[in-house]
Amino acid sequence: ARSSMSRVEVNKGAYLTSLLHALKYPSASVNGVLLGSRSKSGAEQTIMVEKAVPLLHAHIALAPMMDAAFALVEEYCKQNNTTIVGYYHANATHDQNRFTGQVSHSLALARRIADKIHETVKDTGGAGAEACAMIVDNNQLEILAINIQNRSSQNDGSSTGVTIHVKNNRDEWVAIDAKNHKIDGTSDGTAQAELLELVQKGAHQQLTDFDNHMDDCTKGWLTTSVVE
Amino acid sequence: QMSAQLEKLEEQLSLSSRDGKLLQTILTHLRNNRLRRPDLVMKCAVPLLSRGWLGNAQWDIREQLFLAALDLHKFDLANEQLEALSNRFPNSTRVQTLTGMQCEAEATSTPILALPEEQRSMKTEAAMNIYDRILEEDPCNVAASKRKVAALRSQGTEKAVRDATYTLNQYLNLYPTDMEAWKELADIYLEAQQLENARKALEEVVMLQPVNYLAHLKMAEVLYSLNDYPLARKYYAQSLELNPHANPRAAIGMVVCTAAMEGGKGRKGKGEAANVQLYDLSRSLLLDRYAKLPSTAPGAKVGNLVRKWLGAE
Repeated sequence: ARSSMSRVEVNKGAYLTSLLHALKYPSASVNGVLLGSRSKSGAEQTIMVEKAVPLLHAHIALAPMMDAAFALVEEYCKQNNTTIVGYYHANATHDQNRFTGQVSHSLALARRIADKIHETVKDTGGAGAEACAMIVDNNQLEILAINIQNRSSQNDGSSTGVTIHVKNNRDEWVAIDAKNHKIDGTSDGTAQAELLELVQKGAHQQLTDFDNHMDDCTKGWLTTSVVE
Repeated sequence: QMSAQLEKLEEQLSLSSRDGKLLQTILTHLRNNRLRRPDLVMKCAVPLLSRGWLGNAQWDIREQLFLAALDLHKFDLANEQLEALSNRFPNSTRVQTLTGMQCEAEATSTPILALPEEQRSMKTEAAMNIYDRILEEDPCNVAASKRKVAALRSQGTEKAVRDATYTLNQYLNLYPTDMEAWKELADIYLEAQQLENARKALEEVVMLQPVNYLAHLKMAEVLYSLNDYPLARKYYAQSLELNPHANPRAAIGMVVCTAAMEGGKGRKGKGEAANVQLYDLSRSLLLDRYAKLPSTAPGAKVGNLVRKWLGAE
């Protein structure tokens, strides 16, 4: 059993992509898979999230598209020397953002999917492999939006709009506190400011997820990104 | 394709943002296709309405702008439209349901969320009271029934969702041929992960639209999620028969479905002849779809992954 929970480091692109996905479909739940790598230093493990791949914005409860998307993501991982390290989710209902304890239906579903990903990662990733979950908090996101629009001094990075979760010794998801995770560019607010810029440019409308690609195969997915 | 049309209109808009006819066309397109693009509505409706020559066309646009303003939490702008609509159409239940929506939207506004939990519900209750009052006088009022269901659904709590499905089922007793309502019911059940109930609702949809390939497709996806692969396969086959070449979702769904029936071994399993045939057929349809893409299309690269996955490299 692990004595300590993993650290998680999220790169700026993955952070921005997941939020842009949520912003493209404000009235729907959206989800995606996180790719990256794991590193170990002594007893401490760090999950490095390097890419967020948008998956669905409709009918998240339905399995076949998730299965198909995962098959393709796994091919991509093989070709690009990366691996699945987690799952992200943004809930449709504005004020239901809890991922732990008593949760709403759609977050219970998100938790099930995250559990499945965690199990698969554990089975295929070797000793100590595990997954993380990045959950968008709609209330935090709204506060963040107001702050960055006002260029308020409260934009000190404490508000990122997401909470990161890993499994503890009892196999429960728990939110990691600030000192055990890092999201590139958010501590000084530059990532949040970039998010505003991207939204103003309409990047969120140009983002494509797996659903978009299956509706229109000419649209890019997985191999393209609206964020550098 | 609808989204291609909208993209073209948006492009035109970026070139000439003051063309009154274009603005009206975009707003009409969004209304007719029930697309939710508050950003676009703002861009088009605000300048149009300020010009004052719309006459009776303004009311639909004001309603549309009202809804967009609610989405963007621009409550003053929304209220302006609501007042104009109330003055023009006093005693209208349609306007009353809009007032209900205003309460619903304000329920998740920042000042309300800052209130203690017990006080936050007052806005949502106000909305429900409006809908219930309309339904007391007119139990068959479609707009109020649907608004009530939507309001309950968006609350998301277990009780609210139960009430939503109850209300919607009552509505469907009155209007059993309302296909959109059956679809909505299926969606609510899916969100609550009540797949069996979703399936029953979708059976009604398929009955009402037996040649709609999307209805069969959705049914297939729900059955697959219920692990009923053989029946899912039948619906995938129906969907593909109705639309073989522009139906990648069904093709890919059939591939994973037949693969699941082979126990994940795909082609290499011994399996039933029909399963192998269906796997081969859907696999070709899918590969074909990617082969037909122009090589410059951003999506073409996904084709490489698909070919690798299906062993077609």
